[in-house]
Amino acid sequence: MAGSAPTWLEAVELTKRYGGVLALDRASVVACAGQVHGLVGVNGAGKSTLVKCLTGMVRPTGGSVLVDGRSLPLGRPVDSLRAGIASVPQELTVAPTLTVAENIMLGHEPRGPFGWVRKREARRRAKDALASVSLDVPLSAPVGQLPLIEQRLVMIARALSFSARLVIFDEPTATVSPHEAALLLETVRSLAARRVSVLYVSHHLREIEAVCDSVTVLRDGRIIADLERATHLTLVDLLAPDRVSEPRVVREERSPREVVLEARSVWGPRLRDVSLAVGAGEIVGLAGLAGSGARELLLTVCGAAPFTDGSITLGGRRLRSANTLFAVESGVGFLPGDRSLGTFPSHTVRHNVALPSLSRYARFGLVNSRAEKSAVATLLDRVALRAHTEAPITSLSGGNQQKALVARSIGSNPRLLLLDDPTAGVDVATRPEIHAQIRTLSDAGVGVLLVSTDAEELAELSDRVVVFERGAVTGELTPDVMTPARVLAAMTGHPLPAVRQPKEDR
Amino acid sequence: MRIRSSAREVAERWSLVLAFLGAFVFFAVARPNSFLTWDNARAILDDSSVLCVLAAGVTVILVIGEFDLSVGFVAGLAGAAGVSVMAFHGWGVGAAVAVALGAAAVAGVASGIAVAYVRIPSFIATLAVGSIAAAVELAITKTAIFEGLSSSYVQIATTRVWTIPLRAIIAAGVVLAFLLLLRTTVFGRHAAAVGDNSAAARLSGVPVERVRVIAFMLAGLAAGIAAVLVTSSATQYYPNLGTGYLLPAYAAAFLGLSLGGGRRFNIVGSYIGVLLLATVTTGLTMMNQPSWVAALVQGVVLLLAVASVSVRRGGTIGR
Repeated sequence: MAGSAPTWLEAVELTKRYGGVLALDRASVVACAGQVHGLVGVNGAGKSTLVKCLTGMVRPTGGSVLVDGRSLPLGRPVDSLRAGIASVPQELTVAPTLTVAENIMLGHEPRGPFGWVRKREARRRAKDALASVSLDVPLSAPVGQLPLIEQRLVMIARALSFSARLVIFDEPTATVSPHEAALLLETVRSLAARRVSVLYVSHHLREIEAVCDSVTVLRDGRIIADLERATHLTLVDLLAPDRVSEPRVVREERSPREVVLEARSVWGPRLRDVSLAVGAGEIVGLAGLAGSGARELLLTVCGAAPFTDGSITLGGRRLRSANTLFAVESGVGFLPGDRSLGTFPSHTVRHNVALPSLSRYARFGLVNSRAEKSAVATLLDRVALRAHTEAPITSLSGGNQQKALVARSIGSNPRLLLLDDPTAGVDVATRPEIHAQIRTLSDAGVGVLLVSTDAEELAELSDRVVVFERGAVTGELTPDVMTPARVLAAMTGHPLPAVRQPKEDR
Repeated sequence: MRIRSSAREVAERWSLVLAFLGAFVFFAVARPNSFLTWDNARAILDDSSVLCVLAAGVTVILVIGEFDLSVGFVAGLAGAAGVSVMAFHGWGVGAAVAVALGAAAVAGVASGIAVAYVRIPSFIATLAVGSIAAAVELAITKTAIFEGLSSSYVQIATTRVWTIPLRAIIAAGVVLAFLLLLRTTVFGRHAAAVGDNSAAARLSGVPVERVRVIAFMLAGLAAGIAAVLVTSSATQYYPNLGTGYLLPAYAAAFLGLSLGGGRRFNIVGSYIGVLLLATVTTGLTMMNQPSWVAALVQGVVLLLAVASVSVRRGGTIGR
């Protein structure tokens, strides 16, 4: 954060190592009074780690933070708060049954004798904090009853009530409407006008362009660029390559394709009039940031989220709203990248892999474990996973656990495979192997819906990419214009027709 | 690739068995003439049979990641239902047992539906069902004690097969049945999956609600069997006969957790847990310790066992 404003906070070469993984590698940032600094990077680039080092949630392996030239004790949230570093978390962490005033003052209530809370003083300070975010709500209202946007403003007020000099926003507009997003950006600007420093972490590159005075770009834990005033497309260039690193597999067009999945005018809590079809053997990518509707559509199809209107048909069967069992029985397979949704951590590899296809190895409800073992071994072979079937799933590396889940998907013989960030947290070597397996399945006629926060993955795998924003489909990218950079531009809200000219020579 | 496990892990995994053997050796040395006898071993097996059956039922509930606090009350209801159809209507022993098991299973299904479909936390749902079961029990029996049960009913408990009490054999049979159910059936695998990660189980096509209802029904059924064993061996029915069993049943299951690597509740572990508790109680009684000492030792052993597992898992138990 250069510029003329005085620098009061300096994070110097912060490094964080988790086991053998360098999550953050000598990253330095500074905070200047009244400046908004952006922090961008793909998932896993180290943004959250950097933020957590600053807020004291994580103790860095190396490096230091200087506040007004003095070294800040690291790894203790209390010290960070005292130094004026406060964050507005991505997830709402309000206590919903407590009042607005209680939420704002939680943990730093003014104390009277015998540990009593000095209520009048607490309310006065809460009121001041609310005024600084221009929020007018009753101090005694339970926070849980406020609209989400006001809850978020209460959390910002809470951050300010610690006399914060640096407020960190982590993806603040992920789940709000465009109007509310504008309101939040307005609040960020007003904070800067009051000489507060802001660190703004977001995937919404358009917002970064609109609100940030300077931007730091992280990749693989390292800072790859420090920019003054970055435009949306500059950032796209830095974040996504022009070409895919895996060569695109040119696949012959099957015509006419049998339709596997058809969604017609689907409405839901986070979906607005979504229509989409997936053919047999087709990989349809869904691009969009958190809350855009891409992931929500996936969850709706597999019955984990409800739909209120419209229809979803799978192989001629009309799916029911919020009925996972029916969806799975109709042939939906689900492969999450978030392994908390996928693995059974107390169980063996065999149990994890065989679960959806158990009935095939069972007779009269009894599992024939010999048949099961050999089937699982075959599946593990197919995904090139060298692991003992009886090993605990948690003894495998993240990438190998993901391979085991791919094996499970293959074993369940789905007609439609739903992939939710299938290579999140997977090592570089395993990623192409998983992609190859997905292609193999698709070649065998399985329809695939792919949601990914990784633009390169979408460009590599998809036959076409459907773009989502604020719950609705806003466009589609065909293979001829499907570079990672374009996919990223589209998914971060760049208007589709104005995507920059193709640089590739085909 | 081989599955590696450190010596420490092995020691921890077998700590329950070691504790059981340790307790056994301790009392055998301290009271060689009374403890180390076939009569005593038989008595321990016999005395612990009710708890074995209840602990097996409770283990199924813990495997699916829920709690059932109603098992004691449900056992009381089942005992009342079975005994009263014999006393009031002159029904035969077979019919009485069927009524007892049926009543218990219905109570279990009620808890299961409340938890699986109405989505009431199992802790509170089973407290409510337990309270209702206790009320129905008293409504049936008007708090009376039924004595002089028919000799063929009493024989369920007192018959000996090759000197082993039939009651202990029935208990072992129930334990074996539950063991096979959890180990070898599709239901058992589904139950374990639901308990470990219900969201992932659902996405894998496991009928999560059905699994929950069946698990609660099985726990109810176990309570019903326990009730039959209690009433037949006591040769009478008395009100609230099951209430003292809730705590030791859970204690046994949590003791057994170490045998599942600290993560998985398992029938064999629960069974050994029951035997450990029974051995300690019997042994301390033989050493003429007052009964509160046994309760104290049991409590301390349970705390130590669960704490060792919890510390290793970073504070989470059975999840």
